[in-house]
Amino acid sequence: MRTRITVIVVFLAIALTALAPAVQAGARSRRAAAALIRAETSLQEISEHEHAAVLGAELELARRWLDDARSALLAGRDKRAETLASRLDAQIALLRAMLSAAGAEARAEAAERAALALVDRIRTLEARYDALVLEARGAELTSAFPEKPEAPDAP
Amino acid sequence: MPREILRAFAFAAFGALAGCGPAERPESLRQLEALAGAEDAADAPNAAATAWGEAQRYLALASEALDVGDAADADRLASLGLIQGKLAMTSLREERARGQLEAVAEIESQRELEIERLTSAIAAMEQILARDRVRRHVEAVIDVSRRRAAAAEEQGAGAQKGDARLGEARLEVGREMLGRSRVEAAVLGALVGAGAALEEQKASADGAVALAEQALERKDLAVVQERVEEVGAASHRAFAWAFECADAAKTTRITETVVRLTAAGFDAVPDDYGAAVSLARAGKKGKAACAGAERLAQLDEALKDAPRHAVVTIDPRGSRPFPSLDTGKGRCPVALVVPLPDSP
Repeated sequence: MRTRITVIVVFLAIALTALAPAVQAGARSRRAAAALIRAETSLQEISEHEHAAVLGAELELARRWLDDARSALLAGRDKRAETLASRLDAQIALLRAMLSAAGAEARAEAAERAALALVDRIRTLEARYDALVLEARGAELTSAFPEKPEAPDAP
Repeated sequence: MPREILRAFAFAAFGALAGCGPAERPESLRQLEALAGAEDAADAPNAAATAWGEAQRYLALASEALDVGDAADADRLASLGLIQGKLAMTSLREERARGQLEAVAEIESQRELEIERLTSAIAAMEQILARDRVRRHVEAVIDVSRRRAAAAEEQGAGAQKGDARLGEARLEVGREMLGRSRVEAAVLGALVGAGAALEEQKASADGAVALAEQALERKDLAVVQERVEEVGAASHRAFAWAFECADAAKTTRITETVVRLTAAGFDAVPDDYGAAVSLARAGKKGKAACAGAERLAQLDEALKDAPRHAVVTIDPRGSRPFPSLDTGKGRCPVALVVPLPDSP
């Protein structure tokens, strides 16, 4: 009886050892597939962003890695697919950071344009002030006039 | 045949020797090294410490892999490091853009402040100039009025010898004009006084409203009402207008560009007065002439006193230097009731 049990245990141990790589490979394959689906969704979302034009070669690189990873998964090269999916995750983080930076730069440029428009407005007002000063000199009224404010520095 | 074998062996030997040399440096590793040595790299750790640290770690690992001849692993590690390095540099760019945005916003707020100051200074200057324009206009009108009055009196005196009635009529006109110029001078005095008070205090339009309210508190409105009623039926419109303007002064903010002025009842006098004078001068008898003479006496009495209060109105449109009672009603949003000097 003891001998029989020992034989069964040994048999089970051998069977499990043989099956372990296949189980691990299945899990890796599922993880890689899920990562690729997430990456595909993210890339679609990124490519529709208003500042997507600034991404250029980096976006193309990410798309190429996505295609490579998909091919590797279909060819059963799960480890390669998983490696590419991991690299793709990092690349997507880079793309998002680039979009964020592009947005901040666009806002800064818009603010500079607005500040320049204010300079134009100030110049118009200064011209009006100077015209009034001339009129006042004609009427000998300059003593009662408020002082002209200082012009701000250009950015 | 042996020569061909020898050549093949030589190629194989050279190939083997070449394979035994140091592994080729991958492009990704070169790019990562260039990124790490870039001019901006010193600031990158401040913007994205984690990403920059990862890039440095991958660079070290890739170099180690290359040292042991594993070029493929070195390429893989350098690619990962390159992504992290670019991420750090992108964060640095974003941080700089945010800093720039803050700096520009600060400049923008300073400029808005300057615009506000300039606008305020220009408004004050325009107010001063407008007041000066009105003062000059009033002075010119009074000057013309005085000259006309003097000329009429002179003519009347000259004509008295030949035609007593015509001479009398011209004298009346001269007196009327003189009376008118007295009122105008009084009103001008009030205007200048009010303007000087405003300028001295550097008061804005709100100050003028306060002056009006103070005047109203001194029962000026009642005095205006009393004087206006004295000048007869024609003065009803003047009183209504004066009351309206004085009432508006309590609530309406002044946004004047031109100051206009009149004396309460002043514009109403000439027409009514003129009609009565015509009847009396015509020497006609009867009820109308008697009424005219009576009216003339009343008006003479009213003019003798001369209005002691002026309603100084401020019209944002400023289309007319002197308001008319007929058209002034409802056109003057703000009025100051100011006391006139005793002697013009």
